[in-house]
Amino acid sequence: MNFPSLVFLATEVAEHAAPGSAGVLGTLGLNWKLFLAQLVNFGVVIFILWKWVMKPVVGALEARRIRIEESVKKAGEIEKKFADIKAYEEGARHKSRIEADELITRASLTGETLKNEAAERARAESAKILSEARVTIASEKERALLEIREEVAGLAVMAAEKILRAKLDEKKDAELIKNMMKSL
Amino acid sequence: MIFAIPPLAAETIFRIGPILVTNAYINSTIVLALFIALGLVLRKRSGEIPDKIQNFAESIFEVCLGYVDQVTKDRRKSIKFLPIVGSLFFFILISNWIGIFPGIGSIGRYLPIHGEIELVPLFRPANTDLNMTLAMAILGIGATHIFGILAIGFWKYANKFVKLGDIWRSFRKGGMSIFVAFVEFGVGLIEIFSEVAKVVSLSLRLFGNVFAGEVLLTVMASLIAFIIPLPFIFLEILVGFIQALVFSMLVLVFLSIATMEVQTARH
Repeated sequence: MNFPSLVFLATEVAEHAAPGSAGVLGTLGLNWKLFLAQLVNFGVVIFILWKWVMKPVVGALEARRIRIEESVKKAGEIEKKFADIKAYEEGARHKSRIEADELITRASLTGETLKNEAAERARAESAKILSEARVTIASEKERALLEIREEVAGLAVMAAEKILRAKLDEKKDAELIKNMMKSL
Repeated sequence: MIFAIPPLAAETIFRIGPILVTNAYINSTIVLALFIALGLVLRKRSGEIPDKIQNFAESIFEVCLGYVDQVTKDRRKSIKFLPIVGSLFFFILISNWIGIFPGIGSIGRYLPIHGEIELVPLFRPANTDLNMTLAMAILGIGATHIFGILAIGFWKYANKFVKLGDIWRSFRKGGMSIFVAFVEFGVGLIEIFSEVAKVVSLSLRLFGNVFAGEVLLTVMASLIAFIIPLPFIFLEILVGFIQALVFSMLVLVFLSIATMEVQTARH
């Protein structure tokens, strides 16, 4: 069988168009009932693919995409917040270190001052005690000297009396004591 | 006769009341059944953590959405158009590829045709029926108009075709703009014809390609049954994919053009 006869066959069998069609459109097989049937078939395909397949699948896909997008955004925010907190913490630590340093400096300064003051006060106190002691010692010494002098005078008189008792009468004795007392 | 070149029109196998059941219609119903099965498998799968089947479906639609995005440049539009464009693509692809299966075009009934008993194939690729391709083209182009109206409003959309609004505005301006408005009015009328041409070209392109492929395969198989038809079968696999892509991409482009705002001409 050669090609021209094949072509002839094709045109011949083309005449077996479905009933209810006529003319060129009929030759091409167009038939409104079949057209509607195919339209319904394809309509159902669209409906099923849309409602049962694409809606859930693409919906899940989109939901996941949006969720991932949000998560990434949120992660960025959290990272930023974390960095902020870290920076704040660092700042606070730095500030507290400075404050602590300042406190230590101030405390040591105050300690030094207090120490100096205490030493000064102690020195003054000791000087005062020393001078008082000196004064007391001086007066004690004065008093002791006086007592010694009296004691010595009494002793001397006693000795002199013992020596002179025999030679002096009552009168002379009284005079001598008087003179003695005067010279003391 | 040991083989029959398929006729242009799909052959009636039987009828259910007033409904003619042709061999191409049987095939489109088989494809429909496949999609129903797929739908039943996938309808409850929208979990946050996908299982294997959902994962597979998602990976396919992810790729599809990526391609649609390249045309629409807008994810929301892509999601709106995907049901139409995706259905067209997958339906055409699956029906074309099913047409290559052994048994399609060769298993049949002996029916009397023009007084002769001839083998009428029980299955015939769905897209070798002009009714099928025309139905898809009309649905596709009809969808572009519906989406267009929904996107920019009825009056603005109608003004793409019947530019009475432009004429009215031009009278206010006067002068040369009146002439331009009338020319544009004529262009608008041509647009109406181009919409019809879109339907015709879409449906005839697909029908012609798939039908020619079917004829080619029949002829090749009847000349030499072994080895020789194989490259042609591979060719048909490719053609089936390309035609599905061309049809759906064209509808997608028409959809995105229809939903664009019209730039009102400044004269």
